[in-house]
Amino acid sequence: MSNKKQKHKNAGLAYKGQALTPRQRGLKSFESGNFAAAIAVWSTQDTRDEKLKNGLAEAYFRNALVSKNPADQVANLRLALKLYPLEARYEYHLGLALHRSNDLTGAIESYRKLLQQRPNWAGVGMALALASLEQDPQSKLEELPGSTPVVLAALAPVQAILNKTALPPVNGTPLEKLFQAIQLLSTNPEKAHELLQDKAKLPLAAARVQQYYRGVTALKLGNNSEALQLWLSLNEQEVKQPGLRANLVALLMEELAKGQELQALVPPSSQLVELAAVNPVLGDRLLEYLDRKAQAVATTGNWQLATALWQAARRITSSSPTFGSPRSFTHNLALAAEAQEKWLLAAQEWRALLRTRPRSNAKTEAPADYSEEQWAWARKKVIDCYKLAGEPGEAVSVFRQAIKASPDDLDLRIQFIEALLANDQPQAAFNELQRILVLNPDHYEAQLMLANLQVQEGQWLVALQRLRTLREKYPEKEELRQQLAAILLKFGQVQQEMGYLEGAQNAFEEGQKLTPEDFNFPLWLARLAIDQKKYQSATDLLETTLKLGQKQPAVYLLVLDCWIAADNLAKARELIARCEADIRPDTELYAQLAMVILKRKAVKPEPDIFEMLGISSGRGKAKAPTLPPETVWNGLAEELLQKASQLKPEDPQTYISISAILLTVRPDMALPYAREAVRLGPKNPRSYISLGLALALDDQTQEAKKTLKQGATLARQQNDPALAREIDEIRQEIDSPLFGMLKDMGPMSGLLDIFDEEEEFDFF
Amino acid sequence: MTKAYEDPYALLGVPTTASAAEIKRAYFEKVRANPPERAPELFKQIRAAYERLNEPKKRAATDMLLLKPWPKSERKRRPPKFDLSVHPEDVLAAARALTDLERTDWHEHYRKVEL
Repeated sequence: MSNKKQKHKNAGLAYKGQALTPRQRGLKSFESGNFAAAIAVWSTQDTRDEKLKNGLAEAYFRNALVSKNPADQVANLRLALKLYPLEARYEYHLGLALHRSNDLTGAIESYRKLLQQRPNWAGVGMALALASLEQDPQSKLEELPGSTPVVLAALAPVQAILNKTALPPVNGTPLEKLFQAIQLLSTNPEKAHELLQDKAKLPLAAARVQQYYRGVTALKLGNNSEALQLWLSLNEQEVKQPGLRANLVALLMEELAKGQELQALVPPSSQLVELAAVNPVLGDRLLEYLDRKAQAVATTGNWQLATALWQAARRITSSSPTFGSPRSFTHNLALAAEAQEKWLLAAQEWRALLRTRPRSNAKTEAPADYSEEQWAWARKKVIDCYKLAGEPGEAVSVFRQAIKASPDDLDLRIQFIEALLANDQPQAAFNELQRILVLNPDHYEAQLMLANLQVQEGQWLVALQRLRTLREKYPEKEELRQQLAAILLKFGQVQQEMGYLEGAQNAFEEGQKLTPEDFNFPLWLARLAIDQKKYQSATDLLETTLKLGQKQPAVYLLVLDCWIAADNLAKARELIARCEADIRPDTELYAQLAMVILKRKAVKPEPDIFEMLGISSGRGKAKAPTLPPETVWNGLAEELLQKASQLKPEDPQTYISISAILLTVRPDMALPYAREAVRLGPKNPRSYISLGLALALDDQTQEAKKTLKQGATLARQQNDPALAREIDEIRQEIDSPLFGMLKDMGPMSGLLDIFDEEEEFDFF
Repeated sequence: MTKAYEDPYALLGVPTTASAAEIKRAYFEKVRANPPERAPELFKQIRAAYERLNEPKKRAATDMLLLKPWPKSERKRRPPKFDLSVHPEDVLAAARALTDLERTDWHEHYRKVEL
């Protein structure tokens, strides 16, 4: 236990169990170091009692010494002196406290008074001489009381610098070296710099002066980075030196203008952020630098450092409106949080971004850097991120709370509705939409959302009418045109599926008129024409589809599907030749073209009546849909698969890609490709995934498990634990009842989706 | 785990303000320069980049996944001038080291209080 603690403990024990008198209570406080409490008690007592008076004076004295505030120090010491006007200690400390408060006249008066009483009091002569010099650099120090030769010699260099006279000969103490360096600053910066490198320990204030002037000489000698480092470090100590901040700003501006790497600013200290915040010109440059640096490190994947830099930048912009909106930093911070999978933080950042949206009734015309569609996207992000953070209801409560604070903020209500929808509360969303439309019947977003809700409820005609009316009001809204077209497309498809060909035709034609650039409408009109055996019309429409599709691979697949539906092999071959000429298909595209044929031409087996009745027919399990052998379409599919494999016949990835595509429609056909992938790439763990899956789908579960185990072992050997884990998960899944059930339902049943909740099937 | 940053505009070599026609032109140029048989991986990336930008809706969403640059300030930037002269306040602050002004430990000035 420290002496101090022991003392306090003893003080406590001495009074334990007794009712204390005010004198004792004061003493207990005094001994515990609580001088203010001791003063509070003793100052109400009779100070004619000499012991108590002495205690009170000492309490004022000690209270002054523990205080950090010079004004409090002065006040306490004056009260102590009132009780004992001749106490030298009190007078001396009063002089020091006044000196620190820059009350030089008061300090000099105290020092002189003390010198009259105690001419030999240590330190007072030096303090008086310095205070006199501070008051008047021309002061005749030798005429002052207490000015011994030691005092005069020590202050001679100070006086010489202040009066710009020649420096007297010095002995070379660390402080004298400092004064000597300062004196040489303009005439001999090299020598000054050398003297300022002196490592001997100086008191704190003198050491800071030394560091500042070392920066000055470094700069004079062209060593900007040394100067920057020294001054930044002083700035971090929150030193209030006269030239420091202005020179640091000037130096930073100069260095930032060079566009070079400044490690000292990465990330910037809070003091530097403060400095930039009060110096807009520096702030502008620093913001550019921080953003440039953050973008550079983010693109290399160092999102953590990028976050620190953008956070600092945002603190600068938030400090003053002169810097403009912190929107871009908030946007980037949201992306950084997402990249680091910090979903809660990402949700908060996207919300912060939404708060920067200019008010719809704002008087000033702010540049529209985000479209309405993009604001909606950001709102969805808030909700998605809360969901990913495992708090889907959080978005609802966040927005509900916010609406309480601003009930007339309709934008906020829209965000609330989106949160409700994401939280599976469509009725509540519907009610809230009605509330908005009562407040503003023409609210564009609310009308749009209501139409979407109606579509979800199957109220197609009402929704379409709502959107048509809205479009009459807002013909300039691009997303409205797109949305109306999308609903028309969906509606037409539903109508076609239900056999209402006329309704489908009308919907597609309206959609085509609305979005003549969209290839989907001629495509679906062609499908209708094929259904009605109007092949010439279908040919024309599919030609338009291809033109609008702008050589997108997906469009060739869709058009091929139409010619398969029309059972027109010649047209299908013609299309494939055109595709080959237009975009030179890669392995995957060839395999996908084959897949389209296999998918469309697969024939479902007749249901087994015995199995349906729960009686074993002895014919084994119903197999997945299979392709009747020897059809012309089968030939074309095989031809395409042949082309797919011939592009790079020695590359295992070729066979991995083909088998991955075939797995979804024809696992039986995938198997040989998967085997070939393993043969060519026995060291590639992904080859084993495709073979394992193909085997599992072919009912060879044990063999599949063995293969997948091999793949996982290889992945571990190759230091890819993430892939090994994925393969292990697949190995477990192929044995699960869900897998068995989906497998029995046949291909295209979403079988492979069980491995990945995302729609991407990305093992390959 | 952190994700790598992908900028489809950079991959296609077009500015974010490029028109749909400019994007398409850049895409075909890139595809011609990097055919699948010569650079299969790059070809895939180019195609993926184009598919993120070839429809206005997808492009709007892709734009939201791009890092936003801080707009350059229009403010005039005349840096302050250096003042490398000697400040008397600094000399006097250093001289305080000769006195008791910075001293904090005054134990020998304490007196015991007895009541």
